[in-house]
Amino acid sequence: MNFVKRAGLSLWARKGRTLITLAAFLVISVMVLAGVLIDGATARAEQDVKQSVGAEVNLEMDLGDLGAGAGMQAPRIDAGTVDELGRLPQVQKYTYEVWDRAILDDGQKLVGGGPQNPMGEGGTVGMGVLDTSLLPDFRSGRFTLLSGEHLTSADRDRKRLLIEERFAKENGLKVGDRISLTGNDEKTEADFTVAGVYRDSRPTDEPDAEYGISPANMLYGSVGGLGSLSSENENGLQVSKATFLLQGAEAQEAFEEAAEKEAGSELDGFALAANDKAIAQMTGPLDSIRGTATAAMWLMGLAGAAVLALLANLAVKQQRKEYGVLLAMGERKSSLIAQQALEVVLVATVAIGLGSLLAPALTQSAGQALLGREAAAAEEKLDSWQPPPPGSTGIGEGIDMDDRPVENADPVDRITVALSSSDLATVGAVGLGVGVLATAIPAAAVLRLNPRAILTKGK
Amino acid sequence: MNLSASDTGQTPETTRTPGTTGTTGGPGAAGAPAAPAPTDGSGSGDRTVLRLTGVSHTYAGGRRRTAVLKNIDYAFARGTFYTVLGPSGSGKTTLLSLASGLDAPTSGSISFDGRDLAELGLGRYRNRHAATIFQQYNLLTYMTALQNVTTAMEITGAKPVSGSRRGRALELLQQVGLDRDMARRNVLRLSGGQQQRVAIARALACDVDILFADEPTGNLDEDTAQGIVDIFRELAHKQGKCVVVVSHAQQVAAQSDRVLTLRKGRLTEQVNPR
Repeated sequence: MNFVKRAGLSLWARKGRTLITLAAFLVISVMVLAGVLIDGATARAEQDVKQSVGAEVNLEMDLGDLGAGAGMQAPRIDAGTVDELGRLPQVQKYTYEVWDRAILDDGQKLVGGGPQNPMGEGGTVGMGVLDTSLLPDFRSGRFTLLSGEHLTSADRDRKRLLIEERFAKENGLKVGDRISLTGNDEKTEADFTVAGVYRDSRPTDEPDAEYGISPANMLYGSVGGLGSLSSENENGLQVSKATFLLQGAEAQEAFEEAAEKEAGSELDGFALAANDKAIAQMTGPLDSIRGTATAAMWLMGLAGAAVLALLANLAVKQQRKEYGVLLAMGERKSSLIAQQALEVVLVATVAIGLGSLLAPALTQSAGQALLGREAAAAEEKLDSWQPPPPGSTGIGEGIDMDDRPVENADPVDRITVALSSSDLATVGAVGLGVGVLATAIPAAAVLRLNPRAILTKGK
Repeated sequence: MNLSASDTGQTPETTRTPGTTGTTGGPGAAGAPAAPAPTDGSGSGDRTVLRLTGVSHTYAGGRRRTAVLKNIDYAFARGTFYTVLGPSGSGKTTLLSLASGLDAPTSGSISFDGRDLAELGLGRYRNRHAATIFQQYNLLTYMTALQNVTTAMEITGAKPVSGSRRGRALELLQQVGLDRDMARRNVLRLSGGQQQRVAIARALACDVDILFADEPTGNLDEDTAQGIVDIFRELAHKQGKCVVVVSHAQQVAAQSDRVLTLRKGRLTEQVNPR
């Protein structure tokens, strides 16, 4: 163990070099640890978001197929098939939507003061929904049920409606009252019972982004009930869009496989896509700082490895004569390599130890500041989004409807940094490995020579 | 304890007439083998400790090859103090490097106690049987004088007959004229002469069979140099070590038992006339 003593003496005697190496190792280990910590913290925050939002898969028109020349006709799938998919073990709840124009009877009137009505005189949107509680607007909190109850699959073939608070007030309606509607063919009529009254937080004059009507005039009804107003549904209800709430995010792949097996060619023209818009909106800033932190970590890691390799190489060159002297005394080459490696390991251990004390607090502070800025910028962008004017798709104005913000899905603006022993072990092992390799390789190269060649530098 | 050998007055064993010279090795070495005792071992009996057989050494510099040593045969005996003389570039240091196991010859063989160094292992030979005092001292500059000596003892496994390694190291340093205060100083805070003495104490501490020294008294004043020569003589004559010194100093050569001269890669021997 003579080399252990020599390593200690060498480090102590060469304090300047030892401190420079320690400082370099410390900076590198703090930076790399910071990257690892931010990565871990953002991953945990993202996981929390996924847990809270839940995993949602939408069955909707495959825009990729459309581009490939599948035609402009929106695909339809039989509601029975969707029900089968809804019964798959991965599915917690599901719903689907069908919509058509519904015309109010003379006795009722639409809420005035809104945008120009694209549905014609007395016309509005009748949206058939299997389970209104699964509507994204209810889940996000933009809609609130004030009285009555949600429409569920049990109401499928009943004629029931959810109406907006302003529409109810305008027509003096409450839960249990009846309302008469005519279908798009302007012939088929049916009476519906008000099952519930909800509140939409949007102002009356703000047109609905998809249908262009005032939000106050939107009617949600049971799918079978509203379907009975349309002659198109005589051969069974045809669905253009469905939403499946899964047991968990991890079930998504299994669900997609099972759904394709179950529905087969009926899914042609459709895509099963995870509705991760809310998650993406909430985790956008996390992804951004994670990307920055990961890039910085790799950059610092590689630059650090290069600096350490250089320092270790210089140390080996500085100790070349010492090698020659010790070899001349018959010291084993393995002991010399062990001494050099031990010097690096001792410095690295102290640096990584100090780094593990400093990195969490520094990362929390720096990461939080970085995330705060990113979150504020994301919020600002979301707040600045304006829907296109009534009757416009937004294309002319350069507005992408896909950019519409999801309500109540604020970007995450907090992370909690925690250093795990496995993170520390990973960084420590990599740091020590780099240090030892950077030392052992040049040392081994020098030690291939005989002592005389080392002492005379080959002259 | 002082190892001063000034009063030993021992006459080296030799079968040759004092003052006569002979050449050894190589086809061009007229009259070889000339020095009976060490060259062929006949006079040295089993006292031969190191034997060079047909040793040649060539340095390659690009396409040019320079032969420094040419087919040298020589046997070094225990209990003998040798001085190697020769002009600059004659190959003295190369001879010392090969004999001390710091390098391997281009051709020929070197054996210690009848065992080829290639078989024994150069590292093991340097560790157990040979120590070198370098012209440039080659001390470990991050250590004190004392640590330099104890480190050498630890590496070679040298153990004092009594007391600790530290005690023995202090004793050896004192013997070469360095007191306790100097012993505890970093070697870079010692003068060139003092560093040379540390290097000598370090080599002595290894307690080996053969001691090699390259210009060991070059940086020392006359009195100290004489003290060192006395130590070498004592090591050879009282402790039976083989001491081989490369030197330009006539003071050293005059007090050695045999004087070897290297000229154009060939070795000639002169038994000291004392």
